Amino acid sequence: MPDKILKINNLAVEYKNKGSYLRVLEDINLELDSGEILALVGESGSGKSTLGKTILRLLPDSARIKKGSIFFKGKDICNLSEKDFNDQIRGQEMAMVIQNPQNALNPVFKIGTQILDVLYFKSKKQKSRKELKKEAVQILKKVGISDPEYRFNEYPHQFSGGMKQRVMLAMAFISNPSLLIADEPTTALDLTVEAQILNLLSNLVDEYKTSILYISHDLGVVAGLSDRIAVMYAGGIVEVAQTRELFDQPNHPYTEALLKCLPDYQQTEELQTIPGEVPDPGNYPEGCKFHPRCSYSFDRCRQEVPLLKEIEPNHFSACFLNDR
Amino acid sequence: MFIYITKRLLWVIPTILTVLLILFSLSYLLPGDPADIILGPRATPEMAEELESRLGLDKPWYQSYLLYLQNIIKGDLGTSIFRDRSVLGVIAEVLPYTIVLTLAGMGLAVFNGISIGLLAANYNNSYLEKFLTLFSFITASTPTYIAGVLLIVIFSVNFNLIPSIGIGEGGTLSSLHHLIGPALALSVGWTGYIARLTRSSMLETLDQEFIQTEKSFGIPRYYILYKYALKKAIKPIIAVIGLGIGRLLGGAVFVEVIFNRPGLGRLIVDSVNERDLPLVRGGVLVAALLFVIANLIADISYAYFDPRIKQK
Repeated sequence: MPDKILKINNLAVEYKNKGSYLRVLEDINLELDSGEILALVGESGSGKSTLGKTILRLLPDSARIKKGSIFFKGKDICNLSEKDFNDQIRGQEMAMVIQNPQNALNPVFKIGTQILDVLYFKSKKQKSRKELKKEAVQILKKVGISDPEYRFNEYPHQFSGGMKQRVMLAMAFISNPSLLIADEPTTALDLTVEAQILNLLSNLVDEYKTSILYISHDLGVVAGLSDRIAVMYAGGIVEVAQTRELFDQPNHPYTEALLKCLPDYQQTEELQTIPGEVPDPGNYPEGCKFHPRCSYSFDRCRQEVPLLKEIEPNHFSACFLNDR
Repeated sequence: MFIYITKRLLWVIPTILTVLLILFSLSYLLPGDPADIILGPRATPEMAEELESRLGLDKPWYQSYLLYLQNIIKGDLGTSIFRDRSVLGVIAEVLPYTIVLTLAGMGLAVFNGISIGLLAANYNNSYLEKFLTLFSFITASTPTYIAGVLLIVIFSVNFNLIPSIGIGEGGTLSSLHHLIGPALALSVGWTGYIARLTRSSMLETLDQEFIQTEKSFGIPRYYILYKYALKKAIKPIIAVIGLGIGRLLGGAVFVEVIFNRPGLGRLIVDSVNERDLPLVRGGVLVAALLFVIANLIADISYAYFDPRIKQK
């Protein structure tokens, strides 16, 4: 059994909204092995990005952790002061790549300046920017930016979307993080570029032995990339399983429904959808949050909240159907 | 970058030509016959005719306009009617006071405004922020003439800290001492305005995704705030400074009157009252030029803060 790099226990996160608090994440339990790629999938609004941001403390001031703990390499990182968290975790142990590369780089600074600053603070201000430039150029080359010395002095708007995402990956891997949180890093890119970036990502993972929490709404992308998948719905995790197993034997009705929504290139019949939409925090239904959209729901689903249970070794699901 | 600046420079020409046309038409738009007003009721027709030809009022308007343009290109703004001196000379004498006053006022407004705005953005949702927001709101809505009078009442009359009139007798120290009150009065409104703008622009920038990226890569907060966010957020402030110079030139009129200082604003007001047409035209033209130059500088400095403009 390899070490756990990340362990989340009973995490609940709330947002302040007009004086009251809305719970956007509830009872999150998640573990990530070292070197593992765990995919976090779910529809928009299921709380998957919030979870990623919670781990890196990037939530806005209006959000707070209500309860639970996050252990990183066996250490509770919720209790670190803001300064220690910034010095020890961000850019040292963890980094994040976000969805939209158009907005992910500061438009008024040269690419080189932005990369050098990351390196500079990674080195804890020990090395001069001049010394670091070589490293920066090296990593740009590694992520497939041609003529990096020249591009060093260009601004983000002179880069294409795919190139920007390459730069983002370079900046993320510069710090050689143990955990990378990738928040839909390819969603804004077109398909061929997406494939290139995914390819690059898996090469980097192999080289740096980084664990990844890969947030996505696209089961198709995740299938080829991840070791395990956690499915989120309305602020909670409903099923966790090995990637193969999840695709072959989905247990939770939501997972099953999601898989039915996947297009198949040979498909002739109409694509399925899940009726209804993800409820807003604050309007969550009683009992199982999925029951209004679930075709299997029965009385108990309307009254009690199902908890995540191990139904088979390493396969967890939160559904009362398993109790029947 | 070069093309961008050239384009901006070329735009100055039509702007100035329009200003000149408006100034020129003043003599036709102002009520009454200029010659009558200048000479008074007891003037003979001969005297009026003589003055009209001196002012170029006897020719058709387009000829007269061309003559006016010709003179301006030669650097001749005409002769003041009542001072019997060249308009250029009269203006050159007072212009430095106005420029110094305006720059000092703008400098104070920019420095104080950006500082207050940054503080408010940094401590968003705190009591300090609420206080600063209220403070900026009050200063932004205080007219220059009220600020000027208040400053005199408080700091000159009650505490006797700053002089209330004049420009000081020689020596930089004395001039600076006399500049404090007027510059402060002039800056008050813009301080509040720039503070509010800085705060909202900073908050908007801090909300953007690249700030999160920078954070997630371990760049410390102070660095994000004062390097990454500030440079992005400063663009609207630069634009406002360009506009603000023009407004401050207008505000300088009040300040110059209240603090009894010589200056371009006061000169224009006086010459309008005296119906000294050449002096009015010359004064307004110089004010318009200052305004155009300020905007030009703002536009060019824009490019520094926005690489997308620089490239075009």
